[in-house]
Amino acid sequence: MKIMKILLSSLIMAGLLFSTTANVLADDGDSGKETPNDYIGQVSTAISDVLPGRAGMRPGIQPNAVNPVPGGGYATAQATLVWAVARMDGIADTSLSSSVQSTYSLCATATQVYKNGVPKGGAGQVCGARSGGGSVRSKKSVYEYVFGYTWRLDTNHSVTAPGYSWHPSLTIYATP
Amino acid sequence: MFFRRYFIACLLGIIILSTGCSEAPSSNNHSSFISWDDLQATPSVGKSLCWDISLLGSKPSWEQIKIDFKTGIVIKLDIPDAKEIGYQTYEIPSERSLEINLHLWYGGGNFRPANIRFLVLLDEQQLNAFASDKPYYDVTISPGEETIIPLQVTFVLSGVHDLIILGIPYLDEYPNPEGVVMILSHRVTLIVPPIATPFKQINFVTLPARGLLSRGDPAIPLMLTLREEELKVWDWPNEWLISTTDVIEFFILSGYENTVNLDAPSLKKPPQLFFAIILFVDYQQVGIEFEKNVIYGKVTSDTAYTSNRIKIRLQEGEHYILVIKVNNPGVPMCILQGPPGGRILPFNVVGALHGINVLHK
Repeated sequence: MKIMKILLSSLIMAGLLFSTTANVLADDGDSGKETPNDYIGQVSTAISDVLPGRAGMRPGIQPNAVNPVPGGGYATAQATLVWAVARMDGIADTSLSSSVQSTYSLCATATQVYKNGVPKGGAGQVCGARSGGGSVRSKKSVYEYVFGYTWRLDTNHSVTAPGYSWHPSLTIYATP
Repeated sequence: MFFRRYFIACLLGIIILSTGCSEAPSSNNHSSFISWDDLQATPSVGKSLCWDISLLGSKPSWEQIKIDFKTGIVIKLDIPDAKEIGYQTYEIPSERSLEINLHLWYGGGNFRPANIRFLVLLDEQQLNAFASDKPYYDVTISPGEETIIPLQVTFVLSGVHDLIILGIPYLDEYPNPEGVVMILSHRVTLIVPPIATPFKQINFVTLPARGLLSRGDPAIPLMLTLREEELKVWDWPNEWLISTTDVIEFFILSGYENTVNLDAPSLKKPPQLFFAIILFVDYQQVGIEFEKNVIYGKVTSDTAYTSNRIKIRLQEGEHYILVIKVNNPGVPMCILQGPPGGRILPFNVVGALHGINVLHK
């Protein structure tokens, strides 16, 4: 009986351990997919109508960059690390403000998520033609224990139209 | 007699088992050119190579762009006698050398001057394109300033050519522990008729997967590591790798990348990705493999990463190791960036930049 109890509890422990440490594939694409609302922490950084180089943002110029967009309104690039106990999501968002009139090609890539310098993968580039209020998102989820590690997310974004091209890159850190 | 039969049966068994258990033959020797099928793309209707760029609307003038662009940098190329035939695609009337002007506009809303190192690649080979004895050119540009850099591009033969302008801003901020480098890239395609095929005829070698997406391995566009068996970036968390030997061995990990167009949900992702990998030491291109300046590789859509072993000899002192990956080289830009609602293929340039300090033995 005692042996059975030990066996049973070992099985339960192994199951729990597996469920919290197993890696899953990236969302590879738009994240219209819903995720459980179990986030307990978040950091994010954005470039829109502000100049690059603030704290938490990689200092540097944005290639072919401009804000606001021609014809009125703003484009925004945003990188977000958001976490639950056993999941870290790296999210890249590219969006247009609602006042933008023209159509732009928007792309977003969650290029790579690092945990203490170890790459945990990235999600593919997601693009779409969007006008005012439109956005695209690329998301990478890493199903691992998050606390006590330094996490880093690199993202790439683009907003393009004839004669207009904005390609910002963002980097953020989090140590939950 | 029984023992002889038994011995032969055992021997046969061992041979069969050992044959069955041996590794699959390496696919390294398989090489091929890019085809329309590989890209999962279709040729434009009619005789033109590119789709009609007027579908995107009118392009503002350079002066208007300078008014609109408040922050960041805008890059423009003036290519003499070139006819724009599609998205970032130009036809050059005949074989010739080119004197190109690289225009840089650094918006007045930027908060500090930018120092940028420029490099020029023609068909993945670094050019000495600047009026300088170095294969790169450093420029410091102030907010609200326009700078024009003349480029001399060597004789361009008939065919399809990639011209890529690379810029690395704020050099003094590198390296960092992850090897992340911001690269400004401006890629155009130059076509000098007559052309036999729409794609440059490059032999791409199949690179075997070391990590599989289907197995849950991390997707790695590009990364450098020191030990093949350990998935750790370079010498993290150190910015500089200290080496007491002058021969350095490292591994380039590179994997499949895809672009999803949300406006074309029915398009399936291409079964393979084609790319070029180029190595620079102190911003000068060097041989990357035996008698090769470029690795032209292809990986399947399940490849999280493949691995290439690199061995280089360095002199004492600090050195910058820059590796870049050019996706779909030799494919015209107007095909990589399809029409609205069409296929978009990766044409980005990704890089990894690390530092190494070689000390006295």
